[in-house]
Amino acid sequence: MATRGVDFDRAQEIGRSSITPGARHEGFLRYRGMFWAKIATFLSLIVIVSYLLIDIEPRHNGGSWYGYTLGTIGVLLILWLTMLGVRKRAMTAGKWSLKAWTSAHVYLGLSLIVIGTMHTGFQLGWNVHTLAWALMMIVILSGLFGISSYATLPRRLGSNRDEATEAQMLEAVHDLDGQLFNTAQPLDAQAAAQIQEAIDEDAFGGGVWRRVTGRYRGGATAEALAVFRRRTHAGNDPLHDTYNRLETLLSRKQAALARIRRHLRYKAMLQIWLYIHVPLTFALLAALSAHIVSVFFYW
Amino acid sequence: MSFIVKYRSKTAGGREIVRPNEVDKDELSVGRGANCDVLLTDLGVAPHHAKITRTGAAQIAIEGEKNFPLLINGRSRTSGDINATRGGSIRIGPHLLSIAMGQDEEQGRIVITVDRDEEIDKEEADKLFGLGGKVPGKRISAWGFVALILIACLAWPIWSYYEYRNVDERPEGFHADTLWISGSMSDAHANLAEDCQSCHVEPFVSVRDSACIECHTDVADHAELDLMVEAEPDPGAWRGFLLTVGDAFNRPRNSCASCHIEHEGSGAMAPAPQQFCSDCHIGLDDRIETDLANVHDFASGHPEFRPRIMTTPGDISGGTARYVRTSLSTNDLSENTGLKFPHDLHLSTTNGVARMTQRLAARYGWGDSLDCADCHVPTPDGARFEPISMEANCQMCHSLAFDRIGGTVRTLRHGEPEMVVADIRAFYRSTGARRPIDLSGMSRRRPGDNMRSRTVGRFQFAQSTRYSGAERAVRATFSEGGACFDCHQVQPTGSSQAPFDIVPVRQISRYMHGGWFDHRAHETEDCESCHVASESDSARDVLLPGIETCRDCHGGANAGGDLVASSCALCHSYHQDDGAPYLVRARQNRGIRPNTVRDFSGLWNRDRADR
Repeated sequence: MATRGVDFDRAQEIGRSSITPGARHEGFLRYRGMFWAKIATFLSLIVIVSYLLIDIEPRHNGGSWYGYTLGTIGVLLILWLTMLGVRKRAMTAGKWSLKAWTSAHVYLGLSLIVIGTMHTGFQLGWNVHTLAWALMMIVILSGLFGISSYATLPRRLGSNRDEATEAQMLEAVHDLDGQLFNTAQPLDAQAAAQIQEAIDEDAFGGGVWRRVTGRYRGGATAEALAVFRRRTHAGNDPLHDTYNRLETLLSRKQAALARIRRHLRYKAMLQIWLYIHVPLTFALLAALSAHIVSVFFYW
Repeated sequence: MSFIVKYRSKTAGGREIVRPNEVDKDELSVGRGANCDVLLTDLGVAPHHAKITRTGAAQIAIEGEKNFPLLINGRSRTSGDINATRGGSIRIGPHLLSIAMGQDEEQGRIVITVDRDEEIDKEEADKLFGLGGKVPGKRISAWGFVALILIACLAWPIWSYYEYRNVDERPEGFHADTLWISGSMSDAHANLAEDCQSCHVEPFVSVRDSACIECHTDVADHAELDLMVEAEPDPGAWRGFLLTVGDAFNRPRNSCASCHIEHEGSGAMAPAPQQFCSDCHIGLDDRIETDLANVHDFASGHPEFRPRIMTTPGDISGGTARYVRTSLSTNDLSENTGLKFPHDLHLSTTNGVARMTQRLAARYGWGDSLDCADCHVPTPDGARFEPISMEANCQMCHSLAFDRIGGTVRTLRHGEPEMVVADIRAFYRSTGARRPIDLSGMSRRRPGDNMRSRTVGRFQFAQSTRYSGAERAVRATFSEGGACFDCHQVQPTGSSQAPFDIVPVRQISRYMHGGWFDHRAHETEDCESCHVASESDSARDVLLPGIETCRDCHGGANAGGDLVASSCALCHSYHQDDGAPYLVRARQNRGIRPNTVRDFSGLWNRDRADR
């Protein structure tokens, strides 16, 4: 509520003039003037230029000296990137702070797109080698998605949440359910069943897809709302007041559900990439082992 | 006469935070709306939900707007009174408003404490709002993937390797180790794509030449092994380093696979890179004693061609042909194949040859004058040309007819000089001088016998000396102006039985023995653009084009533009086949003569020395 009605642009202007650069928050993306972004760009450029300049006969492949070099760099990089999972559990500050580590993780991880792809020499097929490459790409792209989610979604999540906690959101629904239940007492069996269905509806139905897309069509509350809106408009009913109140309550529940679902969607998008990023990293490590063993097995 | 509204909430750690707010009014609006005095942030609460009015020192009245139900002291009603001294509670949605009289400095004022129910367990809510229940856990899916991939892509292929370890050919079907294939096989090896074990014989041992030689039994090595070892240059720091790394990983040097790189996509296997050739052939003479010229790039570092030229085709007494390998830039280069043949005379468009060509054109499919292709017929593979033969290419004009019996023309036997001599002698022996007309019975006689006896005398002389004319005819045939002499080199034998013999004719079908030239690949060109035959008046001219002619179209390995990029392998073969001079020599030394000659079958002249 503290931010309600505040002009964000003005607020930032104030912030810019009054906060010294040293005190301003520096996220892992901008860490040390994007030091690791520069390193990663430099590394990628070196790899691209050397790929173009070095003449491998008959064509670039993972089995040339250049291919083996890139492969070795790639696998060491992958192992180090994986270590973030261990490293993040110990937060430290300074040059080797977790923030520095994360920054390097992000940018060096992106440069792996170039290193890994140049290692393949663009020779892809249905085999364990391409499987490793594909898993690597999925892991990197899921990470990229995660970063962009982290950069954009929290603001939207916050404005949707409007300082209510998740428990409060749930309680609002719970409370509306109670009021619906009380108000619906005079109704006949059919209408009461309709209300009961609306009461039974919560915001958590559906699978991952619904969570991420936020697409919910219909639902018992919406149906009941339509029914009672019609009844209210019909007028002349002895229960008109009840209908009117039910309509209000139902539309409030609908709004509360929508807010929770938006919240769920943002939260799902903030979380879902890790469910891909982490397990596929392990899949990648397995595929990488198979890749390396196979190369030397059929040496 | 005022209220104090206290909002009480709990931090995550359980600490209580109270935010008091003094309101100097007698009537408080309660609801979600921003302008309400008692602000209840909850969607379950209406913007203006209720009104609290102070009706006495410790008495308040609550009335729900629009008859919204309120829970006053635990009872659901739409309005009610509460005595603050006794205390009471109002529940609106999840909010509990506790009413009490103020103590100490708040004396005299009514305190409304707003609490929010946190009925729902925080951890529970966290679970509900998380993705945990919707997708498989990270840990379980991570281990699942790891197990799946290690089994499918590692254990299973290893199992298939050991299952078919010593098998020549695997049964049809899927074999897991094909998951390991790093690229399509070349066309030549495509049938081996399912049989990994045929090349990858031992695990963790790189492909050895023994696997290749199993099928490629007759591949010749490039040169004698000791020479190759000597000829190898110092690899330098970088290549040396790479070789050392290769050694450390037990990769053999100079193996088949060093040049022939497999799994680089379907289609023909890529030719071995030029680099491998020029490594040794630059400065080769510094390292070994050799006649081979140093060479690197075709455009800039290739010596003039050095064809093998025949200096003498041998002689009649059994002397063998002699050859010399010499550069095309040699002055007064001439070859001697034993044949006399002026190309200019035969290709002329204006002389008697052209006239004769026109006369026989309909019969032999010629044009207005002779053309190269009228005599030179490509071999079936198109790479080279069939040898010229008297019977197929010369005889239609250069007749060897000498007699006619009935309607049959008798010809001298080509290629057998002693037979020619015998035939001519037989002709003179078996035929008489022509009988003069005045000796025949039907002749009209002149008066007197004088004339008749003179004629008889002459005829008898002619008859008796008829046979000796044979030797004159033989001599004429083998001498200038005679049928043989025109085209062949004739040598007298000194023997009366066969006084003349012909120096053997040897036609060379391959001049370049270090490389291969394919005429078919050059079909788009005129013959004359390389072989200037129309200006050659002697068969001694070597009509081969020099390297500069080739460079009109062929550039080096990295040529661009209109030039054809030409690396070593375009013309040269590393594994020289049985046509390669060194191999022939080696085999002859061992008493083995190649029984087949590649690209050279069906040729008339099979003498190995001519190849």
